[in-house]
Amino acid sequence: MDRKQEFLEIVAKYCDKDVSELTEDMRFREDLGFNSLSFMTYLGDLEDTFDVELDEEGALQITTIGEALDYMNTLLPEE
Amino acid sequence: MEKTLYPLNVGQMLQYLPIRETGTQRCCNISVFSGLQFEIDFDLLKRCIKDEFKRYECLRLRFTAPDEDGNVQQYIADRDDREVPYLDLSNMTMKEADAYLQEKTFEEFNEPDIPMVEITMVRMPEGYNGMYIHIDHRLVDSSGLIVMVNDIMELYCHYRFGSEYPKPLASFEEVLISDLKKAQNTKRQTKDEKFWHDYLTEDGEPIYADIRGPRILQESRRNHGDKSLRVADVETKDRSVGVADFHLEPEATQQLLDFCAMHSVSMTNLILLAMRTYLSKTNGGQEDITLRNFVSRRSTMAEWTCGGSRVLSFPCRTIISPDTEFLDALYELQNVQNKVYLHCNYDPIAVDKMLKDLYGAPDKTEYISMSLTYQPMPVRVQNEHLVGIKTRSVWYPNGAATKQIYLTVTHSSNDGGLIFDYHYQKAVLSYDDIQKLYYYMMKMMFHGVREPDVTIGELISTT
Repeated sequence: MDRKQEFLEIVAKYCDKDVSELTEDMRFREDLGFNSLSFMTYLGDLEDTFDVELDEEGALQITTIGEALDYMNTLLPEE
Repeated sequence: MEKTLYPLNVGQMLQYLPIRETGTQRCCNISVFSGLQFEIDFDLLKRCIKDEFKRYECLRLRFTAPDEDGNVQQYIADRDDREVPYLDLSNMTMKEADAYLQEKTFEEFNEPDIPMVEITMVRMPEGYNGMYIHIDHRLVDSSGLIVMVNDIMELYCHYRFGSEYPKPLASFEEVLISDLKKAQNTKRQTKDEKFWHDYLTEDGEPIYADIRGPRILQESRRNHGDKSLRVADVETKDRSVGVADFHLEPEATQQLLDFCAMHSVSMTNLILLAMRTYLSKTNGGQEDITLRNFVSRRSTMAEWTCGGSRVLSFPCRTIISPDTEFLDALYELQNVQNKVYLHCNYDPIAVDKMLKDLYGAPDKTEYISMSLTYQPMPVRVQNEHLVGIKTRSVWYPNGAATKQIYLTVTHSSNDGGLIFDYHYQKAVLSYDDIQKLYYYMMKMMFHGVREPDVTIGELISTT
């Protein structure tokens, strides 16, 4: 499974959507119904799955799936 | 068939500890009436309740007898085919019917390996019909209970009106296995432990604040012969509980919701700010306030519908100077809460122990006098066939106050307004104390919402 697919599968666990329905411009709160707790838990899930350390302040500025993907790519080696 | 035994998850353990301490299961009971003002087909409702025992795995949870260390284990029974009892209380007044159900709340599930839930169909006065659910808190928390009630009514609507069959509910066992696996992730545990250690030490020892003012801490200082003591004694003998409910009208509730949406803040944090500002007011402007916030650890779709008890509580400490503007104070509090959420997989019992060990607080003392649970999910049946029908949901207290003040805020099932439900320890507080607390919380919240640049100091001195 490639990184993006794995990433989207984590997002899908938190919202009532199938992976195929997720697009990069979707906003976590407004479009996918995340609240503060689910968003923070999701960040923790990303840390555990990809074995990275997120900068909390920076991660909190993320609003869309695309931004989160870009941010993750800055923390991980190129595929 | 051999049963698979599992330990309790941390949320369940938090509910189990008072049972172990008091030797009675009663303090862990949840008892609720949920009904609608319409003529229910009770035969059909019975079928739906029986179906629910098959669909909602957590209803079939059983517990073993405690081992020599007092720990119990859990397993899921294959089936539960008990009959569903029926109770007709329609010839009583509503007050009498509520008193009858209140009395049933005290019935205990004390034996090992027995069903830990009883669902009774009830015909209530004034045309309300529905269910009385008496259940051990380890099987469900309030979110889990709402999921269950809604699912039963969705089944009812499917059979009665032909609406869509509800989606399956998540497996309690699968989510439990995932929880237990997460709890063994040592890297995550180390990170969380470091966070909590830093959180509890970076501003030094917290200090107690009580709505009755600084005299409570002073008394404890005298009792312990320690002028610098920062914790207060708690009343542990008389745990009898008082209940005070207040309803905030839908229009006023909407004002708060709009404010939260406009400024990207949560209702939980708005309420926490009002609570801490009142404590600050009653304690001579004390800037350092710690509250306890209950978090229902349900984030993934599976966690939302798997049942079980996932409510954890953590300290929420803020030090806010009087010249801080209301909105900035709210963001400050939200920032603290977000960090707590990131580390709320950690065991809250371990956090409390860490706090006690760090500062050597004496036994039976507390840093925190007030706790909050905000329940964003309305106790409301959402099926289109039942929209507009008046509902009635009553949570009957189990008679044991485990906290001095425990505020639960929910949305009314009838009008969407907020219900502020205070459970307080009658041995130390009166209804008037709580009424005053509610009055000032509302005054402060609405003043801040109208004028977000008002300072906390102004709020304290002018409200």
